[in-house]
Amino acid sequence: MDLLSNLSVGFTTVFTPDNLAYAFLGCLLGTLIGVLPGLGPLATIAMLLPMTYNLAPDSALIMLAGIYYGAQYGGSTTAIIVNLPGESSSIMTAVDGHQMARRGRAGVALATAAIGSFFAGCVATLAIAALAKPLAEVALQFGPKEYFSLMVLGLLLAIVISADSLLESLGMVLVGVLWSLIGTDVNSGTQRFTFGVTQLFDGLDFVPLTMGIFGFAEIVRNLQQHGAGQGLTVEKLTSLFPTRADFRRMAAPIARGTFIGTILGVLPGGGAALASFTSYSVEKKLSSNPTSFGQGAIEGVAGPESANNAGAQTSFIPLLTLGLPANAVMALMVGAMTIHNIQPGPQVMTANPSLFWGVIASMWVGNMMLVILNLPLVGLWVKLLNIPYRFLYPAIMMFCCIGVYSLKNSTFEIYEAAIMCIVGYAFLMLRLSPAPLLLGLVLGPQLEETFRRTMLLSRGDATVFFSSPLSAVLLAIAFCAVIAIAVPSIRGRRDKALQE
Amino acid sequence: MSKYAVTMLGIATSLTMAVPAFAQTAYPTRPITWVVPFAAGGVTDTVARKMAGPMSKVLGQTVVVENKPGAGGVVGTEAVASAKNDGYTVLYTSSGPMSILPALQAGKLSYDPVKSFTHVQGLSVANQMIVATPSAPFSTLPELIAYAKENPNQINYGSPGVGTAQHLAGELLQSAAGIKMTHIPYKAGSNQMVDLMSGVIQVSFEYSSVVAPYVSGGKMKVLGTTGSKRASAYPNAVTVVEAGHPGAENAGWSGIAVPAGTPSEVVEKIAAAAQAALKDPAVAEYFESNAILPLPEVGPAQINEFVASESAKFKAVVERAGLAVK
Amino acid sequence: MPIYNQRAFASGLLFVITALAFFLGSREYDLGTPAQMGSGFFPSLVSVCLGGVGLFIMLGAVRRRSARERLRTWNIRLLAWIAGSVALFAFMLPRFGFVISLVVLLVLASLASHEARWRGIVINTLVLVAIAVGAFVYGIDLQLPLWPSFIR
Repeated sequence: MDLLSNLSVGFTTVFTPDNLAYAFLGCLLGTLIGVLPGLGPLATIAMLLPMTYNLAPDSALIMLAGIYYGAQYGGSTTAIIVNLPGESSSIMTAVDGHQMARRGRAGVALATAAIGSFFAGCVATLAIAALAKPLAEVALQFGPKEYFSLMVLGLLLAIVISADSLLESLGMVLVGVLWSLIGTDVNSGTQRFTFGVTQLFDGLDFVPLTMGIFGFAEIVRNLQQHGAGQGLTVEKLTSLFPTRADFRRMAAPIARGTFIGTILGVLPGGGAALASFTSYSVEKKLSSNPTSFGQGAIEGVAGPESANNAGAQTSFIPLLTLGLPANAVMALMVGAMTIHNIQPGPQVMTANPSLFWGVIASMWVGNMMLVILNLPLVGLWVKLLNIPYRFLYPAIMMFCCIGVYSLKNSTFEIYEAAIMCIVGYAFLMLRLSPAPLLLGLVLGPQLEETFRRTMLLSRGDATVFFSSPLSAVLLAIAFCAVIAIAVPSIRGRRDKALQE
Repeated sequence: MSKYAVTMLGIATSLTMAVPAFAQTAYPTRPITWVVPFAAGGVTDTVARKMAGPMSKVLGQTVVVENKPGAGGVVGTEAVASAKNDGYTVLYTSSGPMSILPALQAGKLSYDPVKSFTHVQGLSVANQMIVATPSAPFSTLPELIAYAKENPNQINYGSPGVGTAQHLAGELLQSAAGIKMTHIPYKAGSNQMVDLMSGVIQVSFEYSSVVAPYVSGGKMKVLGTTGSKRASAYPNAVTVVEAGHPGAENAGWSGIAVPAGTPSEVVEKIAAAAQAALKDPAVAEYFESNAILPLPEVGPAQINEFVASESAKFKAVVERAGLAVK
Repeated sequence: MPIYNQRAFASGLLFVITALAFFLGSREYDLGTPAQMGSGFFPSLVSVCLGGVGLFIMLGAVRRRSARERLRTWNIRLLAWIAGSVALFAFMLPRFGFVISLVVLLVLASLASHEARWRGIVINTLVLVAIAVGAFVYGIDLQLPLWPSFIR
């Protein structure tokens, strides 16, 4: 029983008073900072990284992992309560989670997120412990063409997200892809669409964009529609905790979300975001009542939230087994390991078994702590919704502005958020859903990179997308999915037209 | 920090500005910010953080490493170019923003690598290791060149982006050995490692610190080095000079600079601290194990010439390879 | 030709304009060949797709069978207050410091609401400034200029 002995090595490492304390401290700090709008896991870790320099390597990594989950979890709380996703993977949580909150079901939404995350965390921890090596091989199977096809599939699935028109969603995805091309072209070094503005050389920053589109534009809409006298909730607060019926509705989405997240999280770049979007699309497609999505469907919180947490966890696999950071947060982790004289890479598992298995065991412990830490806080967060809106919205604006500034200690990002406020308001007025745009924005750069790299490697032969079995299968699924999505919608419209 | 301390800091700051003579004798009176224009966790960041401790000891003030990444180092470099020249903002310079980018896009940068800065101290030079995917049909540098001659444009080599020292290493080898390979640019050093391991690309020119874990794990093989001396960690890897292509010799360098016009006393103090830090055992060991050569002898008197000659070398390569951005 | 679905028509138009802007913009960049794509290839490709989608939506909006939807009216006043106070905060921060800029942001933003009362605004602003300074400046040590540059 290798797995058991390995896990026991891990748990022995974690269950020392010191390391438990650091895991707890990490979760706590991560939650506290992650809850602030604009401060996602990346900003939080970057900010708290120096605190860990003086710790022993295993304690430092355990604490950093705690900060990471804590911030991720805190971000979901903000997404649900005030509709501010701090990073790409909590966008889908915001969509239905916030609607649940407005309908008096904030407590249920938060509890669903906590339960989904915990379950996903447990499964993902086991998956990492048992399957780290084979899953890392999956990452190696994904060359540029396979990754391109996977993203095409993900982007096409995302068009179901919007309630009304598939074409309009597709348009928003494409707008997002175009926006993502602003900045330095990786292949040639040319500055594209930057008008010589240095701050744009690295592209539009994601956080100010979401703060503008989700945060500020939403405030304008709320003030316009409801006035500012009462709190955010439209209906009276019902129970804080999910009912038996809620549990029944969330079980299958959590299981599916966990599965999707565990697989996609392993892939470099945007894995967790892709997972949460895909999970949402799948749930909406499978639901017997798809129109409830976007109106506060519990499945729309349970699925994506489990998917992004599982993905967040399995994104450690490439880091721990291959030394490859799957995303910017993991790149920071590499930095932390190097500072502590650990070379991340294939040999970590054999050279530092207590560290390797300790970090894995700490994932489970961290998830446990987050549930313990956060369930009592649910009541507190829910109270925020009862604050009269005229006091709440200036506070939201303040936190957004500070958070956005702290990204790079520069005011450019605040201006960006102000402009995005106007853009976001235009989207609201045109009833265009910004979620597909954000997915396009997140995946756009890799879409172009993998597309061009494939063509470069094949010397201009586009048929390689179909001749590689994995890539061909992914594209075939994408094709079938589009038909499955489009046909009922066309038929539905025709029915409606006939009735008129 | 208490309010009192903030006030005192404020007074100290205004004094520093008002009475420069006083400030010079007292330098440093407050923490020094060392801007690293790359993301936390990279090689540059690691070197800076390892050196910051010993430097703080010599200077008697904390040296705070601040990452200002973006645009291949341009964002952080620009920030320091326009910072106050009082010695409290120090820049980590390297071949990219100082030598290669100016050669690639002359006239487009808001700083001048020579005029905007006072260069203080050379820190390091490092050659690239020439590595290949395990299944490649060649295992040494001469075999690679022979294979490339028989199969022109068949070999794909990766780099962490256009205009990086690693990219130029590939271009140099091609022109020196008279071979043709296809360049596949990636976004960052680590991104290409998956594709190199799985054989999507066959060759890469990367620093030893990046490839070491993969080589020791058997996921890559070392063919050679772009240096003139063999790396102690890979005694079997031949140099480009030994292989008969001295023109392919290539190295990335790094150093410390401050905004132009910084008082020379301050420059001397920072240089002395950096030289001491380079001799610190922990720093020396990191350099040694990653095949990085320290440059304690390139002090304030020598560094301008060093930077100029490095820049001229890269400029020639860029022109020869026709890489300049339109 | 009557436009039945004004909302969809405007959305389609927005897509077409975006596509056109990016398409014209990418003509400045090298197109290259499929094997050696220049930096203009992919943006042009995506712009063409987006333009097509936009035109399709516009065509759909003028078909008789399409749903009847009007454009919503914009509340320019509210939008200007909110976006403007954020931009002003960005402008003031490096010049007047964190505290003064934050007070201006909070007061201006609060005035956007019809239901604003001065007493409430003052108390809310004071509380929030205290929280922000305590949490961000002293708590997590953000690098913010606290006071105007001419006092510091």
